Amino acid sequence: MNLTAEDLDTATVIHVPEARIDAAVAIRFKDSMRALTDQAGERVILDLETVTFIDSSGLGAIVAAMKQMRDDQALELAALNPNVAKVFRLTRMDTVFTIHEALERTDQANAG
Amino acid sequence: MPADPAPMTAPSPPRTTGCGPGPQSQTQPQTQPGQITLPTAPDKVRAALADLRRRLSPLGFEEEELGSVELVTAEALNNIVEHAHGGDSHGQIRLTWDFGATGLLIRIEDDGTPMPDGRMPLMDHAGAPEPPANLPDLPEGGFGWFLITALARNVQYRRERDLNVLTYRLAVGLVGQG
Repeated sequence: MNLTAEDLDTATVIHVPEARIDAAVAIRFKDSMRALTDQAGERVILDLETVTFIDSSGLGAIVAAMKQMRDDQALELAALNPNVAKVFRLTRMDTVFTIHEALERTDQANAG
Repeated sequence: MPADPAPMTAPSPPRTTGCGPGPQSQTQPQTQPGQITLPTAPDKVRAALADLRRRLSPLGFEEEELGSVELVTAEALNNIVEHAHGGDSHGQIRLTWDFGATGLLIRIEDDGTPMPDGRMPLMDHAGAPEPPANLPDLPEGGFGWFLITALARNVQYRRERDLNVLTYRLAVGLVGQG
């Protein structure tokens, strides 16, 4: 799965440039996440702005991606579409992750 | 436990959401029954869901409602692909839907193995359990039935001859009703 990583001042952001994280791509998502988080710092934010649908397999893959990270790392989520947020809420996984309404780039905007 | 009569044996004439005087008096779109058949493969599930959404989209459902229909149906289809057919992509699934006074009625048949003990997992209506505090203990699966039972009503599973039959209802398109 074609994820991309972007280093901000305060975190590594992983963008998901696809509309779905579902059973068809769950394993590839998890593997791509491992490759990117291995090289990331302590704070990783998964940017889900483009994602309009996840199913339980996709949710499981996101949980697995967090569990496979180093002990010093944390996974946060940003920009959840309502359909995506619903999956986290109904399974109570919204209590497990720090969830940001939007990806904040203020650290860059204020750099000057 | 008294079971509801099978809700979708006959394609009864569609009932529209006529709910008395009110501002919502648009012309009602066509609410005809529909059907999709697919082999038991994950990418075919994806295509079937896209097809379902495309055919329901003109009917005036809220996006949130369409999202629930798609999610519940995704979970049901994924369960069939993963468990009833164990990854074998040669099975067949038939997804049909119809519209009733209580919403969208969906029926899914497949020719895979029966569910364990011939019944679907019992779900606590209190919803999903509180996630464990320790990261390694977090579940990476088992969410599917929570999502199905949280969003759908009248979820019923039975065997009919050599087929698994799952039926459920989604209370969508019910403007002004509970």
